[in-house]
Amino acid sequence: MSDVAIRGVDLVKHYEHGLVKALRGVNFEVRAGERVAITGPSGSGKTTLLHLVGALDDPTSGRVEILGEDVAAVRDLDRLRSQTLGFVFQLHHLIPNLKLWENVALPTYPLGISRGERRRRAVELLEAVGLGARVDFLPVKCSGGERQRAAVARALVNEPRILLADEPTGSVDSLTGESILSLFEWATAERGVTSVTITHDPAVAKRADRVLRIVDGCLAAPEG
Amino acid sequence: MLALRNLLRRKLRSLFCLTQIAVAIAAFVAIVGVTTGLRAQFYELSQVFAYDVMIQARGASSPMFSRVTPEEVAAIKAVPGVEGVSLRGFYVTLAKGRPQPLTFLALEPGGELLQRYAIVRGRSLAPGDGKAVLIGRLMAEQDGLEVGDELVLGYDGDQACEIVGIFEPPIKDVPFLAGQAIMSMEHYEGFYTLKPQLAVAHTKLGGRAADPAEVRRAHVGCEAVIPAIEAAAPRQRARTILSFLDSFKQAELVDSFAWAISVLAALVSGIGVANTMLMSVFDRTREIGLLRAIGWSRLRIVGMIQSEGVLLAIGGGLLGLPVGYVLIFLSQFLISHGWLQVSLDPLLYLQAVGFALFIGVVGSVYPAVRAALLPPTEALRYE
Repeated sequence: MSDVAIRGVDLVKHYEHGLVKALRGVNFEVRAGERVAITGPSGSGKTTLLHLVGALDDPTSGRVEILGEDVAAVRDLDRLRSQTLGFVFQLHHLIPNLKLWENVALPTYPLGISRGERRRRAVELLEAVGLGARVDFLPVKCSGGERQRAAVARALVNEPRILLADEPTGSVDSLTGESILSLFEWATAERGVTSVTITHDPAVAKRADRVLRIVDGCLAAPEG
Repeated sequence: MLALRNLLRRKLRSLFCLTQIAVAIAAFVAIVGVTTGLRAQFYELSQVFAYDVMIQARGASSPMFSRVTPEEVAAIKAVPGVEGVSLRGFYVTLAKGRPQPLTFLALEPGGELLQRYAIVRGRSLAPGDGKAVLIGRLMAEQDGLEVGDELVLGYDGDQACEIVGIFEPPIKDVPFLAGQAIMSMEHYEGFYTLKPQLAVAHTKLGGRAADPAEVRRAHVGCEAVIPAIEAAAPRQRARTILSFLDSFKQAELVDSFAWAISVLAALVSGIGVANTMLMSVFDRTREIGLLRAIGWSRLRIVGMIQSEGVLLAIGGGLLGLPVGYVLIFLSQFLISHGWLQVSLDPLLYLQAVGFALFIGVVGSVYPAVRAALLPPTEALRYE
């Protein structure tokens, strides 16, 4: 098993037929179990980098390795996204007509497990993130912080090795943001999850083991 | 389960779509029910009269304007291959207490044609019966008449007849035929001073073809005697039942029209499903992006959207089936007064369900594929 959870090699990403150069040759590594924050000004390429790492988009050139495997060579990217990676977005993206536990269980559908097992896993996670009393609530009945915590539970339900978060505290108050970060730390400590978090918030970056700063599509000098 | 919940999220939109499908299914059931009934009726006619040659005066635009004389009947009876000849008259009159006119057939007591009518109560007509009549089962039920009751006929209501029997027509489940009455040829000619309009030459007595192959064989046999019949009665034109039915080209036209309407209805409701599902996909773009991001395959997304389309179609079908039957009922009893025979067999149910599924599957193909092909990164950014 590779000690490196994520490796980006010469990552270049162009949009609009090369008119927009989002990434200009980024090289980086994230070790297994490490908590890395990615910072940088708006439009610097942070989200693009996260999408490449999350196998949601293809690089124009260069490669991404997840747990030692080149993503471009992975035959079943859906499986990789479902079982190895977990995503948390700035907006919770919970489906409004599904109960909290059903939202959390969404990544388990491709696993083909029974409804009972799906519920068991989802409820276990919801309890772990402090939402045991909200299991059967619809998202509309929950606060913004509760919804975002449910989104973290959804990202962790398939026990991924890597958690990718795009401004997870960007749309919640500082208290809720604190609880979200605590969940990330819990996931790293209890489950050995590697996390990569995009943030504008220096307080969030400060909680990471290491900070990668991106400016104009390039990695700035290492920090942390 | 997820598909159903998604549909329930936008209840009004789903309801509109359901209604659209229901209308298409109702139209399909009603139209196909009627045309299938018509076809079945024609097929049974071809079975019952398979061994018969219909003889009608040349130039008569309908049997009403045809006449056949006793001399012609005698000449036709002498044609080799003709085992018997029956006469038929047709008369429309009013009956007391009955709002719509009553159609009478005039047949010969003991004749081959009359024997094809099964007597369900009372007895058949016998020679010398005078003003005795038979009435159809449906007429007996609708008018509350029984054997032994009096039927007062004529535009002045002055011709009293006795109902001696109730019959079931040789072609089953045809409301029009079961609503007729039969008088004896003797009564028809003597009291009303009318003449037989049609002669039917039987190439086989008591023959009813069992299947289409036998219908065709009998047709060939009948065709063989037609030249001799027309030579024996030059004023008359002879036709087999198949060539007689061939003259009803409008039946095929109605059939084609029915399918054209059904296809049009399917197209319109298919577009309705596509529109509903497409709007739903647009509304849920970010949601679909999220599902792709958390590992849902394109196939699973297609399955989800198609399931929603199929569920809508099944719901519309379940709603449309009873509406279709109500339409059939209304057309049968309020518009056609029982003249229409309709098909209500289970095959029509299956066809309607298949039709609904077709609408659902085809209508949701494009929205499903569109949803599946959404790049997750773009879908997640969608506003």
